[in-house]
Amino acid sequence: MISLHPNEQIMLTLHRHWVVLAGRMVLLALLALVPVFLFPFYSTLLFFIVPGSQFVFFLFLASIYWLVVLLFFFIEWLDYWLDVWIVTSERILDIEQRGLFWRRASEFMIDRCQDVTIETPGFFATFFKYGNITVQTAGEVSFTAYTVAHPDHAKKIILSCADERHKIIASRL
Amino acid sequence: MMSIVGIIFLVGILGYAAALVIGLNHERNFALPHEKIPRVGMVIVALSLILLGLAVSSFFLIDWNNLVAI
Repeated sequence: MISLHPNEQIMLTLHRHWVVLAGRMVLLALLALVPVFLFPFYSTLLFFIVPGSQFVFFLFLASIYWLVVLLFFFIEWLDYWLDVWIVTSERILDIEQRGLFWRRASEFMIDRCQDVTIETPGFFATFFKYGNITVQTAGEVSFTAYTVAHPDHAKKIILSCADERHKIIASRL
Repeated sequence: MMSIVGIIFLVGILGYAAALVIGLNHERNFALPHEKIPRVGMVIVALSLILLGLAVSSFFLIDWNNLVAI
């Protein structure tokens, strides 16, 4: 669980756009349909392997195949769900998940944010309103979130949070 | 034949279960404070159990002595 500082508020969470996930899910759904398309031919396909019990053998192979497809679906979902940018009133957390075992979490204070660049790469990105957002920090390190939904809205929120934070820091001096 | 396939099947199922548990654990541990734990993991577990039941029951129904080409 991500822990927040006292009085820190989550302003925005950025996941990849659902279209990116949907494309992969459609591919997995098509793969899951392969046994359904093979069903009319199972007795011919398996006759030479199991002369007696082709249907049960087909069911066995199909269920193992579906289990594998389901596992890929779950890994894709986790990759989508746990890959996230969290913009809080104090900092930005960039969490990247790849597969089940690779995870990277970076964070930087929002007052170190110098400029924010958004990029809309192509026709689909324009049509579905998603894009890449890059935040340049004072340490000359840039953080990029790819294919996030409504990057212009995210840019406004990040800049307004940075502005608020600058005001708070200035008032303390 | 049945015992060889059975061992491979068992190892595969154990690996599958381990991956599922790791995934569910990630889903729970890395959720944001304001987010509900997504139910997708639970749906995947339910579907996996159904498919596992199908695989195990069909495994025991196959006439393994009759396999000729494997």
